[in-house]
Amino acid sequence: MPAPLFSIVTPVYETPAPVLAKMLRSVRRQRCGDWELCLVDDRSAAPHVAEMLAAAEREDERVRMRRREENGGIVAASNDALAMAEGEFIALLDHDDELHPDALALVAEALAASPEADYVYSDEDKIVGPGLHLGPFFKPDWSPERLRTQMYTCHLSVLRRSLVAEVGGFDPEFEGAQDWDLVLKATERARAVVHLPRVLYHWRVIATSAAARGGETKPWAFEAGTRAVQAHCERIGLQARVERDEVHPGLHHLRPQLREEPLVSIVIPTACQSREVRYQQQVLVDNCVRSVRERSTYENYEIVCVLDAGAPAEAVAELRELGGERLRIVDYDQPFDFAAKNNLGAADAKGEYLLLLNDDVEVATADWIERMVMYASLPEVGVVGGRLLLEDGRIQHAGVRFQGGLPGHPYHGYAGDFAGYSNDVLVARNPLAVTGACLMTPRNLYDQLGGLATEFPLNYNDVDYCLKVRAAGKRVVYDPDLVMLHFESSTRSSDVEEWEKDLLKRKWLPLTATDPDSNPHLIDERPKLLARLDFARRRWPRV
Amino acid sequence: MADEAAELRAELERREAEIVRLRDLLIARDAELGSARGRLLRYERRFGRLRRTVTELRAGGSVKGLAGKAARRLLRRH
Repeated sequence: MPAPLFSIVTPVYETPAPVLAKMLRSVRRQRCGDWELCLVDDRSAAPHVAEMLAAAEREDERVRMRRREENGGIVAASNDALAMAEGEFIALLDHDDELHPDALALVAEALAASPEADYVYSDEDKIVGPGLHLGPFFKPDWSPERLRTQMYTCHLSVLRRSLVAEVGGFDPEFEGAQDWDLVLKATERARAVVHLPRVLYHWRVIATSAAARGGETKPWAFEAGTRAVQAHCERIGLQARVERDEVHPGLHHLRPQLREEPLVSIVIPTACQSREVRYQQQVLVDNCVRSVRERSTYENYEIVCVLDAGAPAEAVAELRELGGERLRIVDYDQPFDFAAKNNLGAADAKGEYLLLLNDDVEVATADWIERMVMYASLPEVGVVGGRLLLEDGRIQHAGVRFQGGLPGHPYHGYAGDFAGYSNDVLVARNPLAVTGACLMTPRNLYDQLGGLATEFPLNYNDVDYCLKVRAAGKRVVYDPDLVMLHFESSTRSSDVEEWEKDLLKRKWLPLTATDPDSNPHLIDERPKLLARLDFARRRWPRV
Repeated sequence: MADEAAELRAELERREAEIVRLRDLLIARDAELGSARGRLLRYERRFGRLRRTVTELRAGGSVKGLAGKAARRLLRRH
């Protein structure tokens, strides 16, 4: 199958000569020859720019350049370059960056494997000096939730040209974040998005580049990014207000703006056990329900407690008082089975959404239910979870990640302010699973999938449920701004039996062998040593 | 008698307030300690990776051996 024609779109403005030469050379050294380079000089004052582009055009017929009559900014120049493009796909390349020699060839291979792909993106790194590549960004697979809070796909981005035309190209309203806006619009309509886990793009760090100075260089660009995401939320019906992260440039947060509050059923299995929490003996479920009642700003919810037989009468009386008219108690008199207890509670629940909550959890974010409903009301979302912290503020849960087909909690025990690899603790993501200690799912989906599987009475029933949701084509969402305290496994042993591991692997290994929320080049959430040598694998074809 | 009871109540309240104050201090100290423990854990994991590399180096016999192994892995991936 022949490779499609790639139109590399590059607006150029006052690029230093050596940098421009390297960019041009990186294109001409592509192993795949089916490309055209559409260069638009945005009326650079430096004479070498037009001269070098004209020379490149003379030397290679695949290079075409245009010089604008007047300086119009990056969006105008990029749109002019788009207008020159004739290829089936558009590859975006900045004037001071470089492509890996295999970039287009590997994209062509990916497109051949996934003909329905309308958008392909790759991993990237930074050029910090001659031949010196640092800071590789090994990205997760396609994650719509992450793209709303971080422009993580960034470079290299290759989009089907017909789709780019359909969404109107680069929008001048979002100058500075025009790429983000374009990708948001394109992915709203894309049939498939493909991630290539290879460093195919090298982002040059020069004194004035955003790569070097983070948020200081272009505050207006970050503001444009906020507006682009806001417009996207409005287009897709996500009831949220978008806010910039004041500390981490480029990150955004969604604040729920619900138009209505559907009934949410909070299901809490409990044996009314006690333990010391903050130097005070507490009945855990009482502490949990108290925090729900006192701290939640959501109005329309009910609490269904599934109560073990033999629970202390005093604790139950206190629970009834705390829960008031919102509380219903369902008695459970079978041997301990977490899955069955949740299913029993769900059967009694009347809400449109089920919120499974462990009794050793305490609410920390007032709009926690709103946050979950915000995401769960999207038709493509099947499960929502949040960030759970231990009693002393360390991370307990920031989404579940799989290694070797088994789930684990990345960053477990790390400081609460730890941002994670590429800020992945702080951005919304689409992990394969979240913990069932605090999990929302639409009621009809729960019923459709048979609830929690009782073949996992103790462990993994939550992970198994999330994987069922994923297999049904729905997304699992991790919301970093939904924070809860989790007095982890204070009620029973957290040891996982071998048979549980075997069963989970047997059921789900094809789905979990490669975690789409991670990257093959990461191990324990850090780049593998050899992955840093990726640039060494270049093969330089003769030009 | 009434005075004594009132005094006792006041004393109890003072002590309870002191207990709450001390508990809050402990909770704040736990949070600080948690943060430090979390950072320590991160450094320990980093150190663990380094240690594994050193172990591999020793097992491989030399830097040259490890570099050869790395090169073979790179070539295999092509």
